[in-house]
Formats: sequence, C-alpha cells, structure tokens
Amino acid sequence: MQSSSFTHRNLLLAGFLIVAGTGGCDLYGQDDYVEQYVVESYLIAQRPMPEVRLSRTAPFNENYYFEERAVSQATVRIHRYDENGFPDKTYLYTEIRPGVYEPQAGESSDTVLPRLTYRLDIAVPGSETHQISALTSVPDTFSVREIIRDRAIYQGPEQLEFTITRNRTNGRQIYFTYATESLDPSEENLVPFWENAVDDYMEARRIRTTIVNEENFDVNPDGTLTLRMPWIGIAFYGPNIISTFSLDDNTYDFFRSQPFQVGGGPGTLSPGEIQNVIYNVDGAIGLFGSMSVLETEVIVDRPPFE
Amino acid sequence: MFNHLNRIPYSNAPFQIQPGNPIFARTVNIQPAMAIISLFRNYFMSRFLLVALVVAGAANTASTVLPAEEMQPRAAINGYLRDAETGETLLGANIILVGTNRGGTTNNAGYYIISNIPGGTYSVRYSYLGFNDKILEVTLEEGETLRLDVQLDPVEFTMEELVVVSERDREERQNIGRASVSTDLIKSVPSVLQADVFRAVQLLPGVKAASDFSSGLYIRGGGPDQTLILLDRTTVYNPSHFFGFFSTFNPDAIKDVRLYKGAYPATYGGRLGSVLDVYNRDGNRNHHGGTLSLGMLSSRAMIEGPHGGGSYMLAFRRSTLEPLLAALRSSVDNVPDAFYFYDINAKVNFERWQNNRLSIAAYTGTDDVRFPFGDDSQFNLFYGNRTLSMDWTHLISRRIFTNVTLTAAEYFNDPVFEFGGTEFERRNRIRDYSAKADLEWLPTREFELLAGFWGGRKIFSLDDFFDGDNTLSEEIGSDYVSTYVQTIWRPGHRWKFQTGLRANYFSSGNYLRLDPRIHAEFFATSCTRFQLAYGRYHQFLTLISNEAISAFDLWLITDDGVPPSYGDQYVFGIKNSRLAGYNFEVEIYYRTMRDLFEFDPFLPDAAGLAYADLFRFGEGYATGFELFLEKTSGRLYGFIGYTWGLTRRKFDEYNQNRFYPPKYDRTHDVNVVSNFRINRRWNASAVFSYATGQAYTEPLGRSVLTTNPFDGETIDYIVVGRVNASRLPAYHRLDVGVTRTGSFFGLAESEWQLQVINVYSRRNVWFYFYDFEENPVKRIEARMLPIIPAIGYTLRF
Repeated sequence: MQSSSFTHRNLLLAGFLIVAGTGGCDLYGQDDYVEQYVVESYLIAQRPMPEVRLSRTAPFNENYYFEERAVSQATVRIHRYDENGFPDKTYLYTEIRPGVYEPQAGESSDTVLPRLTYRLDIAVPGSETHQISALTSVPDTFSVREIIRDRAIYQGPEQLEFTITRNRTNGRQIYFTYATESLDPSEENLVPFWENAVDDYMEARRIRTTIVNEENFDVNPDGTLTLRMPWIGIAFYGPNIISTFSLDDNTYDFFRSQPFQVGGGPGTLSPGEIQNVIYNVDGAIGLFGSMSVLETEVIVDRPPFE
Repeated sequence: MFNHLNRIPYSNAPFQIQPGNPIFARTVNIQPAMAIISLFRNYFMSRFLLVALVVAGAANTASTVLPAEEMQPRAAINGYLRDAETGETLLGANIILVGTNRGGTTNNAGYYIISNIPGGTYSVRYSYLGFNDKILEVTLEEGETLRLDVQLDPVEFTMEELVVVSERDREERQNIGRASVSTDLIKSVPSVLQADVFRAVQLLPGVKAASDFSSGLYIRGGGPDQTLILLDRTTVYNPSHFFGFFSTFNPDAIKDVRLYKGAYPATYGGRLGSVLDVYNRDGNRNHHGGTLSLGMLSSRAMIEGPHGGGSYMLAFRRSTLEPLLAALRSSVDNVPDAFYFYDINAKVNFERWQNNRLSIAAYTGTDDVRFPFGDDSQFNLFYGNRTLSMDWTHLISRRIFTNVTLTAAEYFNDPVFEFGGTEFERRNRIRDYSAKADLEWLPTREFELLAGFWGGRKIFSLDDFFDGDNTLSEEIGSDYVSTYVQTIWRPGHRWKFQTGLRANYFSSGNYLRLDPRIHAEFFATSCTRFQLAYGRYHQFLTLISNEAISAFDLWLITDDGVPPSYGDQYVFGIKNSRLAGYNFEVEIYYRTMRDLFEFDPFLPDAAGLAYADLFRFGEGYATGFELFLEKTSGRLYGFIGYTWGLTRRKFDEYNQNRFYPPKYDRTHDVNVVSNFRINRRWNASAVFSYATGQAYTEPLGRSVLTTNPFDGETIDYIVVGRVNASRLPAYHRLDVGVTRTGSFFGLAESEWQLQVINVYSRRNVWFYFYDFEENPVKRIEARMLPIIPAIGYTLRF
C-alpha cells in the first residue's frame, strides 16, 4: 500500500511539473510585425509597358492608404530577355507621383512582347543592399478562331460560345480568368442574381471570375478550345465585353492563394487559419505578373417573360 | 464579390514494396522474399518487435508443450452471457472460477471460453457492469466441455451502490488506450438538442471537439479521418447529421461503444490513430418492447422483440423541423425549402443453433437541405451513408471461436450550388464491399491467439460538374487485403504481453505495408498496472473536411504518387483502482504522422490535373498525457478527465516549412462529468468543460492591389507570420440537466428530460473574420452556442 501511495504522489508531481514546464512557456510564439516592401505591376502582351507601384505594408490594425505607404525615389528598371535568355533591353522608370513609376519618355510606347521574360529590379532609397527583383514570362497571345454565338438570351438553352486558339505555355495547362464589362450598365439592365448580390449596380459594371483551368473547355480536333461563357459571368443585359485572360505563374499563384485569406474560395483550411499569399518576388511581397488577353463583344438579351 | 462565387470547393515510406504484381499472387517468385528482406533492412524497431513476437510465440509453445499437466485432458466451460431482461449479449463481461486464477472475458459476440480446467467442482462467478453477479456451482469431468449460457439480472436500484464493477471488467476497460462509453452516460449527460454518442465520447480525455457545432472526433492529435468508425464491424465513412452537429448513431439503437484512443491492437487497422467500435442492440429476446422519444430537433422510435429463432431491433430517427420551417417561411426570408435528416437502424438475429449465430444489420441515413439564398441562387446538400452487414459466429471447437462478416458500405455526398444560372455540382462516393474473418484460439490458460483477415474492394469516385460539363472525373477501384495475427501471453500473474503483426495490401498504387504492434503490461499490485505499447499504423485514405461544416466532406484514397500515411505510436500508462469505487488512470503518448496527404488548399480548379497533383504532403506529431479519475459507485458518480496535448503539422512550402498547430490543438482540456441520483424518480447531471483557446493566425500587416487589370477592384491581402501561432480566448461551458422518470398511465415508463446547455451563456469564440470595408480593418468574432434550453420526453414500453 505504501508503494502505491508513493506511486500516486510521484505521478501527480510529475504531472504538475510537466504542466508547469510546458504550459508555462510558449512553444510556438507569434512573430512580430515587420514592415515589407510591396510591388505591383502587370505586363499585358501587346500592350504598353506597365506602371510599377512600390509601397510598404501597413500594420494590420492601422489605416491603409496607398499614398501614405508609397515609396518614393526608388530606382526602378525592367529588363527584357530574348528567347535565348539573354538581356535584350532595359526600361528605366521615372516616378510620376509618390510610389508610382512609369517608363521614361520615349519608352512608354513600347509594347510588352509575348513569350519573352521580363525582370523587375528595384533599388530602394536609403539602402545599398536591399534589392527587389522578380521574373515573369509573358504568356503567348491567342485569338478568336470562330465566334459560334455572340448573342444569346440570358440563361437560355444556348450560351455565348466562341473558339480560340490554344497558347500552351511551358507544357502546363493554360489558366484563364474572365472579366465581363457592361457597355450599357444601368439598374434596369442588372440581372436578378447580381441585383441581389451588390448594393450599387455600378459595383457589377466590371466583374471577374476566379481561375479556370484550360481542361474545363472542349478541345477541338484542330487544337482550338471552345469556350462557353457561364451565365454567372454576366451581370447586365445588353452589350458586354468579355475579356479572357491567360495568366502567367506569378498571377496564377497570387490570385489562387489570396481568396483563402478572407474566407473566399473553396477553402479546406480551418476557419481562422490564414496563410500568406504566394508571392514570387525577392526582397518584397506583391505581384509582378503578366498575361495575354482577348476581348470579345457579345449581346445578352433579356428573357422574353421576365 | 464575383471571385467568391467560385466553383464548388476543391476544395517515403520505409515499408514500401511495389512488385509488378500483387505480392500475394506470385508465390513462385523471388520478389516477395527480396521485398521482405528489404522491408526490414533499415527498420530495427520492426525487427525487434518481430523477434519479440517470435519469442513470445516460442515461449508459449514451450509452455504449451512442456508442463506435463497441460498434456492431460482438461475440462472447459463456454457459452454466451446475456442480459436476463432483454437477452442482449454482454460484451466484455467477467467470468471467474472462484478460488482459482482461472477466468475469462466475453468477446465482442458475448461469448466466453475457459479452458484447461482440472476436473472437479467449481463456483463460477459471472459479473458485468450494472448487473448482479451470478455464481453457479459446476462439476467438471476431465475432458468435459460444459456449455453454460448464462443470463444476468440488471442490478436493482440502490441509493448507495448504484454501479457494480467487477475486477476483470475493470481490467478490460483499463487496457491501454481503451475507453468505454456506456449508453446510460450517452443518454444522461446534457447534450445540445439531443443525446449523442460522439458528444459523449468528446468528454473523454484525449478526445477533443473542433467546435460546439462539430461532433467530429479529434483524438490524440489526429483528425476525424484518423479514427476508424465501425458499426457492427462495418466501416462508416461520414457519421454525422445536420452539418456535423451530431453523429448518426441513434442512442436507442446502440448497445456498446468502445473507443481505442491509441496503440490499438492488430485486430484493427487502416487508420493512423484510433478506433471507435460501435455495436447495435440485438433486440430483446424475451418480449416485445420499444421506446418513443420526442425532442426539439428530432424524434426517435425503436421497437424490438423476439422472433421464432432470435430477436430483432428496428430504430428510426427523423428530424422534426418542418413545422417550424413552415411557420417561419411566411415571415422570414431565406428559409430552407427542405431540411431534414433521418436514419434507420435494423438488426435481426438468428440464434436457434447452439454453436452458430447469425445476424444481419443495416443502417441508412441521409441529410437533405435545399436552401435558396437570394434571387437566382440556391444550394442543395445531400449526403449520407448506407451499410449492410451479415455476421456469422461459429464455434469450431471448445477452444476456437470464429466470426465471419460480409459488409457493404456506401458514403455519398452530392452538393449542388446554383448561382445566377450556373450550376456547380460534385459527386463523391466511396463504396466498400468486404469480407472479414476472425479466429480466436485459446490453447492454454496463458496464451491466446487471434488471427484474421479483412479483404474487399473500395471504389472511390469523384466527379465535378461546372455549368453542365464534367470537369473532373476520377474513379479508382482498389482491392485491399489485410491480415493479422495477435498473441496474448500471460507468463505468471504479473506480466502480460500482447504482440501482433498486421499486413495491409492496397492495390491502388500497389502498396504493401506491415504494422507491428506490441504491448507489455506489469501488474505491480492487485490494483496497480503499468502498461507500455508501441504500434505502427497505416492509412490508405484521407478525409478532406472543413472544420466549419461536414456537409462537404470528401474522401480520397491512395494511388500512384499518393502513398499511404503512416505513423508510430508510443503509449505508457498507469492504472490504479486502489480505492473502492474509484479508478485512476494516466496515459502518456507520443505519435508520429508521416506522408499525410490532403487536398492542396490553394488549388482553384482541379480540372485536368493528375490525381497526385491534387494533394499536398506533410507530416506531423502529437504528444500529451491524460489523467482520468472516475467514481463508479454511490449516488454521485462521474469522472474528471484532463488532457495536456500538443499537436503539430507541417506541409511542403507552407508556413515556411515549419510545424504549426492545427486549429483544434488545445494545450489544456478538462471535463468534469457528474451524475447525482436524487431519489428514485429524479436524477441530475452536469458537465463542465474548460479548454485552452484554439489556434488561429493573427494578421500582422496588410497591403492592397490597387490596379488589378481584371475588374479594377482593389484587392486586400493580409501579411501573416507563423500560421496558427495565436490563441483564441479560453473555452469553457457548463451544461446541466435533470431527468424525471415515471409512468405513462400505467402503460409505459416515461422520462422527462430538461437540460440547459451553456448555463451562463459564455459566448466562446469560434474564429475571427475581418471586414475590409472598414479602415482600419475591423475584426469580427464568430461565436459559438449561447444558452440553449432543451426538453425531451421518452416512453419505454
């Protein structure tokens, strides 16, 4: 009996020691906030060289205004590499307002070339060692091969449909995003779903889908893709422009990871579990991305008995 | 806005042998031998365990062969032990030959064998929790096998000694990693809206709940998929109703609930963590009867009784929300068009033969919710399970007991969303057809051997439809076989060794895996036991589940490029029952989880991806200790359970490849469960729970995309540090309840049950979310249950 009591006492003592030892110290502590540089720039094939925005992050519990976080007097360059990977051209940038940089005069009319790689280089003011850099390979362009249907009745049996050429990039699937812009936005033209989803009809004037893989669409024998516009991508009756974007890896990574932070997207993460957005930038966070885009004008008719 | 309306959520193993053909199919082939050699090449622990297994077997053989007395023909007694009132078999009951060290325990079929008894006259004592002991005088001739089917009377109510616990039963219940939940506990503890098996299990140390809204079992650091859930020996894949709010097991239909929290024996397999083994009632063999229960959320009915050659039981439960919804529909927007769930349990037993017993059990359960939200948008959640099993128990000889079961199980989940004329649909199925056989052999009093196999075919399918097109279609059929051998050796009174080896083969991916298990136990005194156990475990499937809601649960299985998860468990336990009416238990555990595979949470679209590309792979570990103090007798009874636990996970290219705690990780977890019998009619119960706040990720910084070329909207994003490095406020809650039993006009027993959940209405925080419309960002708390009163009424006839 004595030994049993002794065992009990030892056991309890050991338990309390373990609790005190492990519960009292933080085994996995929270990091402190560290300010980071933020870049933002989008190269769109066959459009002019883009602006570059440079700023700093804000502590989460403080106000955020870009102007207050803008980083001025940085040295911003974008280098273009040819198809063999050799430096081809360097674009020097000038600050046009706090934190916003544009190609220097004379170079702003240069267009972004598809299939080429561009490199962003930024030297931040006040530091000789901190460099920001990022690479993007601009997706190939694509075009409409055939417009099968550019006019349809909203939620009718036949959808807006067109065939595009395929611009396979680096052996991977093409990642698409659609944006639809109404050319005649008005409250009367708002479709029922979007009428319910927005407070002000102008919020739906231009809408976008999340990322859709190429494999969602019909592959034709000649290698082209047939795209059918889902009705959820239409917010207004009347004329609309559908922009189909083909994304590079950087844009894909950013836009596939960002929605999960704020409760959007598919979400298999537990509520409250937040991860950083996937950035492909060295020395900063943000997005230095590229894309090619195709625009198609369509007309959506109101259902006859609405 | 639009970006939130996305498609339906898509949401180096050391033991790997991958011959070109199934290893069991080619015996005239050097490959298997080479494979087995390589299997153990770098795995000393496994080698050690196998050596231990062989030594144990050899030692047993010696003990079997050498003693001259063992060569003599000996007597034996065997039979079934039943509840005298209902005829239900009693599982885990204790049988002792008084004045000797011989004894036994009934198995999962309620059958017992005591062999190698010298001829003579004995007093045989039968005892079981909640029943009066029975002592029978028997005289045995040498070589005689006496069949003794015995019935025990339920214990009559006494104010001071409510519960009787036999030593052997206590020993069985205190096996390492083991916990039992009585159906009385399930029905008596306060539970939100209705009694629930899983809610009761969540009160045990080592078992955690994700939230007030989830009945999922998070056991010793594992997620819900790491617990094998069996109903009448058939796998149940999604055992929840009402978005996961409570389990599918109808407490009226349940006879026995056994939980193996860790280091479970080789008789089970297929999950990394634990086993919950649930048995349905067989049905009353003596007279017809039933229960009828009315509750706020659902109502239940159960009938049972004898038939010509055995017994039957049929239990039905259905939600009863429709009248409430209909009343709300006229005044409240967005009320579901349909919202119901139901489940049916049925079991028929045939026991007309002395050495054979046949039972057929079936379960079906479905949840269906159709919910329009806003104009031109709605969702339909439709999911459930079906199981069917046929179980045949056969006594081959007085020392060999066999059990053969054929099972069929199906899990289905078909959510459909429709937004603005675009439909998103998913169909996920697991169909599982299997046959299993188990054999128990008791050649000597010191040695038991169990062996068996479980083989079948799992068919997994996943189809996604977007706007009418089939965008993802996966169907993987996999044959599987697992076979095990387990020995229990008791060399003397103080030691017990249990060794086992389980081999698992899964044809999808061609994986063969071996799971050694060992368990040593030292009885220091008659009331103090020291236990040590090790086991390796493999898991060939994974559950993709959002902790917020179980209606989207998605099961996925291994295949090429997706190897099975595996892990090791080490458990040390001390069990003490020195004080009469009290049990005190301590268990310390450490477990690893490797090759964890789960759906890559950052995949926006799975269309066109190879199956292996759908996953992210990681590892984890969990450690902790559990204290359990139980009072089993007297007017006041119950238990206090405390757990200190630590769980960590790590996935490639996530959280900078650092380990992090999953949300459900709680450092401290205390549950106090008490029942007080006021008098013959009134009973009171209370449950108090306290736990460290769950892990969450604290946002540190923020930034904004201001010029996105797609829609021009600003896009906020958050900068975080370590994932889940912060803690929500501590969780605590007090639930109380009273029951009053009486008579319903002399026709039936009646019971009123009144409960108050969360008495002081502590609004525990579930998680935080953020409103980016505000500047600075506003943090909003999503809270769990407020105070909820509940009332129920039950008739037993």
